[in-house]
Amino acid sequence: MTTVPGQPLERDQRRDRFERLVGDVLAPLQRYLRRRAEVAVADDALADALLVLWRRLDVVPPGGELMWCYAVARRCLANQQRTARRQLRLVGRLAGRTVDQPVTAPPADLAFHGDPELESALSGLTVEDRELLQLWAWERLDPGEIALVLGITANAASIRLHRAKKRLRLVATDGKDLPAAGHSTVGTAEEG
Amino acid sequence: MDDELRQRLGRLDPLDAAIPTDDTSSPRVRALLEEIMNTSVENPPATSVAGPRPPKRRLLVLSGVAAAIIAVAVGIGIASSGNDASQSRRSLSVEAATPGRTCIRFSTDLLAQASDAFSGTVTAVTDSAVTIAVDHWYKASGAKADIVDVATGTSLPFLGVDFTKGDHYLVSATDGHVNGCGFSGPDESVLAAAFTTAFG
Repeated sequence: MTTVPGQPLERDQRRDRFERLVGDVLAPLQRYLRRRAEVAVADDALADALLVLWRRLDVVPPGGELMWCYAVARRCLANQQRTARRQLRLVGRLAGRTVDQPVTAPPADLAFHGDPELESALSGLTVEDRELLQLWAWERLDPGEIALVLGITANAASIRLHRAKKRLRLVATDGKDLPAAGHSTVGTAEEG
Repeated sequence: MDDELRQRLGRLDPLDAAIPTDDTSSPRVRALLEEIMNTSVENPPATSVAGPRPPKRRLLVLSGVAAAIIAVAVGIGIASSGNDASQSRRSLSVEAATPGRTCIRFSTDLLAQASDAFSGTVTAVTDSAVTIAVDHWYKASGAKADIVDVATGTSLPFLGVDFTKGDHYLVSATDGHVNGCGFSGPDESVLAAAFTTAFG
């Protein structure tokens, strides 16, 4: 053990807790990021998020570690995407042309599949609605957890999610009910 | 109905469940974790305990594309100027834009070597200049001016900082020159933590 007076045990404890937490959150965080950005950007955001986790370990809420990390990763990714856009613009200026390629698209090599109707409807929603629905369906978060990630109240998350689902159904069906994939469904869209 | 919608949305997940993620024991992850655990640790102020305030600024260039694209290292000469009424001013001028250089990897140790560091709000941006109202000097080699004028000329893009009126920035300078590459930038949590660590 190192012998820095007053510090070594605390530092060792910090390392231990950090490594345990990383073991718990690495896979879901990596998935969260790679779902939303190409691999290089996602991995940069992951590195940023883990750095924040290391530095802010003392304020990570026990029991809420993963949601805390999602919230951090979400902002890290937004930052990475802003940086990427700035770099593209800069490269464009240097090349004497405008470069405004979006950097928020999902990984190009991971194509959507299977449900073009719903996919089209999802892409027609606002960024905010899509984010809510993706957290709900891809990360399998409930409204309370979504609230922690987005920094809003659980009630607000629940209401926004409810409305996003409703809008998705409306967009997907031009106002009619959203049929089940491969089925013909009759009835109104219920929220829950 | 909700369960069905959730399932259908789940099938749009672009990341197939069969695609593996990195294992914490992989060499790449181990190297990343060791690098992170060798960085200094922020002691967050009590006011920021309420929730995650993640970074909006990169500290580490671990696998990024930024460093290779453009060299920043733009020198900005700092020159003192006279007082204007009750507010003292300093003038910064971009000396050269040299795209042949490359970024130096950010570290708080390097940041700590800066001779000047301050935070402030951009009050004006033109094609050739930026004005910053300084609200805090972390470190000053000379007078702690209230206003810093940055004559950017055409080299601003090379600084790597998008100055926007009304936004708050952290700026560091060494021996009269300010570098980009993340050593100056928007006042966001990670860079702020780095400034606190370096100059606190």
